[in-house]
Amino acid sequence: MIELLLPFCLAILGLISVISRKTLLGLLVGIQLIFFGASSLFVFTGAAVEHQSKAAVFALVILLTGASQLVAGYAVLGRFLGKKKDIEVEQWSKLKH
Amino acid sequence: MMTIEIIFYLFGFLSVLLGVFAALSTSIKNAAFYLWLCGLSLGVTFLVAMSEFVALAQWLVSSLIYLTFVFHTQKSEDASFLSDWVKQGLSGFIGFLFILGLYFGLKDSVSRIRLGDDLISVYELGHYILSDQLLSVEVLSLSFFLVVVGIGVLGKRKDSK
Repeated sequence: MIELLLPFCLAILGLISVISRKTLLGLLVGIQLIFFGASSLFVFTGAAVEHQSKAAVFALVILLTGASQLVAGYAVLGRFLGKKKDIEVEQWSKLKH
Repeated sequence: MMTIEIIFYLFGFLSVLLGVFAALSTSIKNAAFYLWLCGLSLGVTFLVAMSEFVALAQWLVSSLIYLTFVFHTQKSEDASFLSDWVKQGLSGFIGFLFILGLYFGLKDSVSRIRLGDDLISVYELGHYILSDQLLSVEVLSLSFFLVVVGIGVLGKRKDSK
């Protein structure tokens, strides 16, 4: 089961990136790493228990969900791009006004 | 068998290494580039694990993610040697080429993509998704709908009222 180290490492790296970065694009990079780890966990577990296609469906759903949250992040980015070069995470409270 | 295992562990190690670069890189352009390479090498490990369909989806999604990251990092920086209409035209042309490549590359081979041992074709996958996994599809479509509505709400100009 050494294959399961790969999704674990990717998820930890994504968490490190989410915690350490302050800009929105950096945050999205970290979240994508976490989604890569989640989809690879399903694929490798499915290969280990020999239900590859059922695991592939869930991995596909996770990949598409990651793409949709990326689009939502771009919408938040586009809301501020006229004023700033990039968004600091602390400025998200401005979306309320 | 041994060669397959070597390829799997080699690209798995490469994925983690590129993930480290993506997580720790100071420049966001380099981070997006390393994230793209990480997704590509992860797709190779999927291919070795006999999940060709997910590998294909992984390559497509990570390439599109990289293209959108490049577009937004270009958009968020002032210094650029290309004017706006050139950048937009270039992005549209690359997207058109991408769709053309997908169409001509996959036109005859969709029915032969390997999905695993229990489902053998994309048509069976479609039937499986729309019968046994209908709840997953509904939740996913609801989340897409919420994303579209949220983008519309966020993109509304503040001074329009």
